[in-house]
Amino acid sequence: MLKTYQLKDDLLMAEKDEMLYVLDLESGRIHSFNQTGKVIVQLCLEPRSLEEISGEYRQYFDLEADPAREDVTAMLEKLASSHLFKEGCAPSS
Amino acid sequence: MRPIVLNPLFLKLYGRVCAVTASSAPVLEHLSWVYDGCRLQRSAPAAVRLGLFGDENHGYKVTVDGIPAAEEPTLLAALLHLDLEILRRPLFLNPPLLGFHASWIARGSRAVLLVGEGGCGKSSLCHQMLSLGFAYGSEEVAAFSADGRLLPLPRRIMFKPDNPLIPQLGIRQDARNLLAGFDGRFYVLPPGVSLASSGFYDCTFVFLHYQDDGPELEARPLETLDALQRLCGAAFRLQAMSSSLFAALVGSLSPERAVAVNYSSPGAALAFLLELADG
Repeated sequence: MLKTYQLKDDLLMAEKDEMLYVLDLESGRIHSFNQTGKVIVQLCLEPRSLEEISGEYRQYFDLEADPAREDVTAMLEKLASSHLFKEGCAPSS
Repeated sequence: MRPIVLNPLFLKLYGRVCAVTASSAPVLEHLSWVYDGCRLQRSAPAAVRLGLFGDENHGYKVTVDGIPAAEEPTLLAALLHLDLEILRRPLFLNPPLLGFHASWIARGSRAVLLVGEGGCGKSSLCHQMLSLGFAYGSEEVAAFSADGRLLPLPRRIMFKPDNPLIPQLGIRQDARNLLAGFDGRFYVLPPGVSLASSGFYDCTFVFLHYQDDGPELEARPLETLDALQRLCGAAFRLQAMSSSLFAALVGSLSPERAVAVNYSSPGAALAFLLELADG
């Protein structure tokens, strides 16, 4: 079964000056994301696979496949280590 | 036997009417005095009804619109809980207001919002600035309407019994202060204080941290993320976080409007705030 990534529900989000701020209501911690991070975070609002996210991200920023996948993988790892995914979602190693 | 319920106290908080009932006359007398700046002289249709009922033998209940919200073993704990509900429940009525734990004072079109943990000096600095002619917004809650108006809450300022301003200003305990008998706290307002009006203010957020052995005064602008984290903590203290509050905080913060002040000298902190408020 294809692994998918989706942000958990108890998050509040707000944008300012091209930054995205995400408040995790469970931990009380706030995370900030720049423009590239923001796109990946927003792609994770719905369940998507690494391939789907990388494809959308690549198209959005007009990137080659490999650097796009590297960016996305690094961001997914960051989101996972910040416990922002729904239970059971984790980046593939 | 049905508990005796006294005539309710009607308070107007952030423009909303709140009826407070209790089975104890001293509780109502205390609240009537602490909130005398918000008290309505006549009954009015209440948007929210809060109550405190019980006794020493059976414990105490705090109710919201007739539904138990908390059970407390002592009158002190119940009264503190009721006080918190008085401050926060009107925020949640429709349309919801945006609120967080902070003191604020104003001069002209500028407002200074003091944010910090208990013991950081908010109350003392707020009281001192009122004595210097600033208009009083609130000691406990900074509440904003959805369109960004800051709404005053003229509740008396609470001093802990060890506050050095008490002997300095010769403040005496008031017989209507029920809590004096429990933990010695004071509720004060400088004589002749003027009240801030609700309206649009140019707001500066000051995050206070008192450190006995720290620098006399150290002030620095705060990055949005840091300021936001602290303000969200202040909203969590009122259990008032919402998506609209979060969006409003993100929208209103910037390093020019958010200052962290670490201090050991209250005089230096007051001088800094006066300079800040006067631009």
